[in-house]
Amino acid sequence: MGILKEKDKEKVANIFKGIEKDVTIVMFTQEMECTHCEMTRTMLEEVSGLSGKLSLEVHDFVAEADLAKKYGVDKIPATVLFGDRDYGIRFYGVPAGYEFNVMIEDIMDVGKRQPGLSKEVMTELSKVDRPVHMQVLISPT
Amino acid sequence: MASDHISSDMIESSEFSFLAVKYNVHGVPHTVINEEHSIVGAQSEMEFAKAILKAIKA
Repeated sequence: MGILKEKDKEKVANIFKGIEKDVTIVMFTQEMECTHCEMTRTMLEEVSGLSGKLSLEVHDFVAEADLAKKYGVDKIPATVLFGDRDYGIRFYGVPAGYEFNVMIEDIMDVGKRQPGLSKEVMTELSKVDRPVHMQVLISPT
Repeated sequence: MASDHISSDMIESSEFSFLAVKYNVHGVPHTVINEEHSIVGAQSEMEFAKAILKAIKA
């Protein structure tokens, strides 16, 4: 069962033409998939199929607990966007609705290997000298 | 991405309602920095950057 509409697939595929470097989408689910896990996996399979620069790795949160720990993933469904290295970007839950757009933008940024932030903001953030963990709680639509 | 020190989670609050309760979330977006500092609502990138710096100095 498909999740993305054909029209949306076309739009996203068009945006993805601008992906500069390879992006790996790392997803954690489990053998007995929760509804949201299955939805997320299906959606990511569709999204990663829209560009040759994208690849999808699906991992088992239970059987591959060590890997989940390495990524700092403590709940599922979890989606990690990975470039040459880990940029600390995680989505927990189905990246649908507005979050879908955010994920597409993040894929583009990871493809560029740089965030779309102004010089001023980058200067401020360069002053960060210790670990910062941000959790942005959002809701569907 | 802007700093190797910063990691960021987008969390679907309806799927992880225990976190919405834990962080006392009444409206979204609700941003929690290092478990302790909250920012409610959308802010400019600069305001987020300043909030991060404030949080680590607090």
